Amino acid sequence: MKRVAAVGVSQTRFQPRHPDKNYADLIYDVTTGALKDAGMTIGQIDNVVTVSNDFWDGRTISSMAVMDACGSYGKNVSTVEGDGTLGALYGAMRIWSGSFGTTLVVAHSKGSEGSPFLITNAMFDPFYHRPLGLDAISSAALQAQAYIDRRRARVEDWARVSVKNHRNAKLNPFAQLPMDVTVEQVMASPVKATPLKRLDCSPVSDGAAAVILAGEDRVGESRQKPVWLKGVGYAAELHYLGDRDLSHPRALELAAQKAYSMAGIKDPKEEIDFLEVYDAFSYMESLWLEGLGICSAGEGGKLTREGITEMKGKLPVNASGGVLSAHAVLVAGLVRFIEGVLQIRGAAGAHQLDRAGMGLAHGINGPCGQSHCVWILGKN
Amino acid sequence: MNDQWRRDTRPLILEGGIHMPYSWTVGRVGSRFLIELRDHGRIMGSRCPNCHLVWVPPRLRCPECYAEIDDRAWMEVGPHGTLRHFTIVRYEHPAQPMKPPFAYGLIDLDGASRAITHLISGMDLDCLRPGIRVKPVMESTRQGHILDIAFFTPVGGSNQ
Repeated sequence: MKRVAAVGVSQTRFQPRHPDKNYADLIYDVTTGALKDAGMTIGQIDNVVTVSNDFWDGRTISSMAVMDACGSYGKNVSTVEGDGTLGALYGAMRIWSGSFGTTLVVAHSKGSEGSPFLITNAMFDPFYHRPLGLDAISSAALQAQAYIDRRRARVEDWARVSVKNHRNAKLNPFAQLPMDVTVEQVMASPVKATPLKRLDCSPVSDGAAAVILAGEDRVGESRQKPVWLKGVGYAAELHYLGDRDLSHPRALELAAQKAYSMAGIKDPKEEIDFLEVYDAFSYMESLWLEGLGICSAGEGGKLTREGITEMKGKLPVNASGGVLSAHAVLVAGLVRFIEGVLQIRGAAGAHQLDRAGMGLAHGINGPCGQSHCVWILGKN
Repeated sequence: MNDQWRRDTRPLILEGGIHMPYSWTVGRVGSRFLIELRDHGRIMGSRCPNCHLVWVPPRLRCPECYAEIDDRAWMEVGPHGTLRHFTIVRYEHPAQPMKPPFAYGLIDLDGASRAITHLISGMDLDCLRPGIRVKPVMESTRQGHILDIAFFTPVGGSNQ
């Protein structure tokens, strides 16, 4: 199987609303942005994978609205309805399979245009869960409470995640919520659903992102140094919340094991230099670190409390500010991937880390992280 | 290239919406579950013949081991159960079946191996604790719907 690398990346600024750009306009920006980053032309793109969701876009076959914007005319173009990390997985598989030499992966979402409550309520089955009025926040609150009840997680540690990531966002010009907040302010922010407070929750953003992937025989077409896709793993667990132990991200453990095995990683916390994880809610950063095997169950909060996940810590997590600071749904996973690429290139700007040879990027899909995709990205 | 129009054009917002009615087929397994609830006020589960886990609502095949679960493996569960985890919701939306504050809980019904998610009400929310015993409060007029269970409430008041 030939090696595949990321050779071009682009993201929009993430905002509560992009009032002057429809979703095709956002895709024009990131498609041309990624081509410019790579120094490539649209003619060098063999195929395209788009990432979108019909409910967020308010139309069916939402991918079709961005087909010309992503330059896919006359090309093999296909769509992922799911997180952007899964779009990258599909795009890479198209090269690994030998079918194509390069893939452009684009993702867009305008959370401002629909109703996040109704759209996330609609991710639940219409028979048993949707009529209860559950949405992304209340279901996550059940998971957060399960994390407390089963693993003795502490809400103060989650507040520290919020403080850290919003502070990191001050160094990221693409982030929506760069700010200085204190643990006390997070703890005092209005309760959405116990134990989650407003500053434990990500915003819903407008934005888009694009990545150009190339097989090793084609990476020379980009002016950028390739960032190699060293490993990937994907796994899902059951959909009904009550079927799962919400405090135990079993699918993430499986996805991480696959990704580490493919990348030849034996001890992730020693071999990986930094992580970008999908912290749609503050507690998720701690819980996902447990699922990723960075620490044992119940120890995720301690990593933040002890400063290990700070930019200057031993294992920085979400130096970009994470999803807490910018959350265009679906796009946010591809942004984790892009942030991984930028760090490894040494091109992350003000939030560049000192050690960034090998990074982990992570995305989730479904309520309470029902499925997880884990990427290992490396310089060599 | 004269780009002045890009700065001069004030972008418009198109207000619209989608109302999309559906007639969802519940399927035989789900129908039987909801009919038992409607006609007898019973909550049914199904026991996997292979790994013996009891699922509620019932399934055609065991989600863990994928063994087929036939009709004879159906059994009544609960109606009492133990509250595993809960959240008290403080924000409001018209699609919520109750006005906040209200609670959701994951409930381990007696005899079931996995929890069901439902509303918790009929008491002082401050008295909620994981591990308390709860029971369903049924609607008097039931129509074969998950909200035929109006909500779960603590057995004998706030504590046990």
